[in-house]
Amino acid sequence: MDEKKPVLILLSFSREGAVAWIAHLDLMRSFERAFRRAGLPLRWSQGFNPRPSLVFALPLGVGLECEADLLEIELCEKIPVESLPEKLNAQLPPGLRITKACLPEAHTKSLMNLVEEAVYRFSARGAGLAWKKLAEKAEAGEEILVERKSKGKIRQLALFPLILGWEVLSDDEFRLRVKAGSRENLRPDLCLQALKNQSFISSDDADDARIIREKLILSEFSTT
Amino acid sequence: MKSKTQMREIHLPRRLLRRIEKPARYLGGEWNSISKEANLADGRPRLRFAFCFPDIYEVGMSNLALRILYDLLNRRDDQLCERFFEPGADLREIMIRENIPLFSVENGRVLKDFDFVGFTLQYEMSFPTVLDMLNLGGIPLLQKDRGEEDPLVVAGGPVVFNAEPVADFFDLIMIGEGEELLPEVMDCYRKVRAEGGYKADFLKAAAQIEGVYVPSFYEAVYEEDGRFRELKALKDFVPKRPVKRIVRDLDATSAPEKVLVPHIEIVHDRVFLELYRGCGNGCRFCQAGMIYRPLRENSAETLVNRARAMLASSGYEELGLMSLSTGDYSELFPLIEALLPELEESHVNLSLPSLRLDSVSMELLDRVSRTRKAGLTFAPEAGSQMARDRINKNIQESDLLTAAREAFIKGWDRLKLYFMLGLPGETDEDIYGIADLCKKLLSLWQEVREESAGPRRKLIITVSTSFFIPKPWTPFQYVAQISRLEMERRQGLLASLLKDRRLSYQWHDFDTSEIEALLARGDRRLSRVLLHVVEEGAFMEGERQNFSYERWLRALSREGLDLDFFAHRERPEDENFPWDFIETGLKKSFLWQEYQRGLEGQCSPDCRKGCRACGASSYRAAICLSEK
Repeated sequence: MDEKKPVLILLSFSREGAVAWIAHLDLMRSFERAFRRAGLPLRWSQGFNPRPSLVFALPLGVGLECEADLLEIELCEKIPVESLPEKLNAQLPPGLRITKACLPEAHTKSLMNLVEEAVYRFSARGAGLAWKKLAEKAEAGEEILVERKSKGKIRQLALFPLILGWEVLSDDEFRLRVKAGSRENLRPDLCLQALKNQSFISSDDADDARIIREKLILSEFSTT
Repeated sequence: MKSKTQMREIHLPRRLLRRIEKPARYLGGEWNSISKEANLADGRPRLRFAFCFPDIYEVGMSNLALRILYDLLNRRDDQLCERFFEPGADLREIMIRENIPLFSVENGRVLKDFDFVGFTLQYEMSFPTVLDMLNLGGIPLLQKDRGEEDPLVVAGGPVVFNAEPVADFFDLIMIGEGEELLPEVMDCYRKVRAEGGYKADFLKAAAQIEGVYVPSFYEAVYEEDGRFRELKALKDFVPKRPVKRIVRDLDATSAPEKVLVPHIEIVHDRVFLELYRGCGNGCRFCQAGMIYRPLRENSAETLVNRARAMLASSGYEELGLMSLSTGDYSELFPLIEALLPELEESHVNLSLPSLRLDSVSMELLDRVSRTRKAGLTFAPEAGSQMARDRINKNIQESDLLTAAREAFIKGWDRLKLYFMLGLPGETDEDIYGIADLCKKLLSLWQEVREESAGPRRKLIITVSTSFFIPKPWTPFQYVAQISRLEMERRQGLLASLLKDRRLSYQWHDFDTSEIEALLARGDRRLSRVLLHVVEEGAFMEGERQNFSYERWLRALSREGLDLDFFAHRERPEDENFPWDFIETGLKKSFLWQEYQRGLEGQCSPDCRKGCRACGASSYRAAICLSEK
């Protein structure tokens, strides 16, 4: 066990392409292995099965791309952070990039509990137009319900109370700012489900959509 | 024989990726995977090799041959090797429905656009999957139906030591280890192609390479009673007997330093360190222990360097020692002593394969596992001493119990024991012996528990049995597999004897055991049987839900063949086998003598302790030349 105080490092990363189609645990393992290849002085947990500490601000679902997600790691010694992105990018599989590395501001809550909002961009044929129609319906007072499976049960969920802002970028593209994090979280695929349910978009087009998490908004400190 | 200038690429749309399990299986981009342009900078096409593993990604990626040959083939700039696996059932259905051809992991390239389609045959039950992959790739199954535009379909791996059941499907078969053989075959192809030759010219030239077998140059002849007589050479330029290739000096061969690191968890998700090839034990049922003779070791020094390089290039958190019987590696302790401090420092686990329950193994475990005391796996194979002597599994019960006592004292409380049922000469006494051994272990545990203080969990012993399958190139190649009814009875007997809460019993299906026995010792007539089962929809038959026993019986009867003839018939000493004509070094007289010694319950020594003149010394490996 390292007696010294851990050095926390906050990494901002993007993912796209093949590596976007792996599950959260696999992504974690991919980062871990890249850190080992780069020779980072990782700090290991104690006990039965020592593990490095990797804390993701918000898990990425299978198929979801991102431009600036956050990951906090613990090292056992200080290293220069400026050169870290370059060093790590040389060891990351195609599609995964570290865009920024910094020593995070002191925060009282864990990274996961700091996440408040997320911004998503959706692109699919007719998606922008479809969203406009849906939003108009919602603004006219109609409740838009989607189904969410949790713990084996299907629950009805009102979509728009979770949406904080929207913007249509083109006929085929729109952007949403939604509630995110450990308390209330909107999974982006539910937005496409709503469009499908209303037949504003075909099932194939909705399933073909590219979904990119553009950024996360945290309560205690800014990361931009 | 010309490469297409363009290679077609399949990119699955997102909607399909969202509808299938583990889409990352199909997308590549793994660390250390290699992706090359179809053509060289000057426009000449690269030689294109499709490495096909007839199982799903997670299984195929765990294969050592794939890792070695993928690296080897891609080392040359003018060659490219891409991986192909059987798709999961969900994607397979979509591909058939939407007419999507089989595509490579690296670039989605279409199987048909490769020069070589190479399968590694690791187990007989994968034969239908081989044909399924060819079907998905739109490649005619039978060698005689393929033209100049189609790829050359080739095979290697342990199962090709009797390739006759699949002989009609392959242009060329490579027998033995591929590190030297495969590059020679590629060179031969390049040469013939440069000269503007046709497939027939290539096959003729390749047939001269030691280790190459071109099935279409031979014809199978049968006796009137249906038994196999001989393979007759149809051309005067082919060797009478294809010769097995091996790598004589393992230290001098190039092992991959860059290990593929999959995005998703695979079956054996670790770096493999291959300690040695072949095996000196001489277990009489074991095909790998015979066909990969003579025993050849890597030096500990080489292995330490390889381990370092592979771990550094992959970032893997686990290193697995690999070989047929790890405890027998002569430099095991020097290797472990050298590796352990580094592994501990960098938090890399060392994993050991199934071990013999003996003192060496206990010492090894002691050094390796400091914290985790999960499960121990051992393979006594047979329950009684007599039965172990018959199969030449040189373990004494007393050693076993001494080692178990030590394991219990050290805190291991999960034991998994592997046995085979239906071994030649097996009596009910031997089956009672399995149960007795378990009871002895249980009471031993009780003793240890009473002697030592401290809280302890309960001991759980898992007993796992499979049915013995007679394999070519083993002393038991002559043996009749026991009948289905008898399998059922013996399994039932064992199950009734293992009724104890502390014992859990797992068994293998006997349906597949019979079909495996059919394919293992089959001849060329089975190619047509395979065609029938695949026409009827067979693929991934290793999985229970896909397997149909009746489908095999129907296919056999369509060809006028009989399962009993192949699986359940004792062969006389003088019977000609379809695999005899391969030169492996092993003498048939040695195999027969070992069989007879087995029936008498006589053990034979390990290669290192006494030479039994198996014939493998013709390969002049160190073990065979040293004084004993």
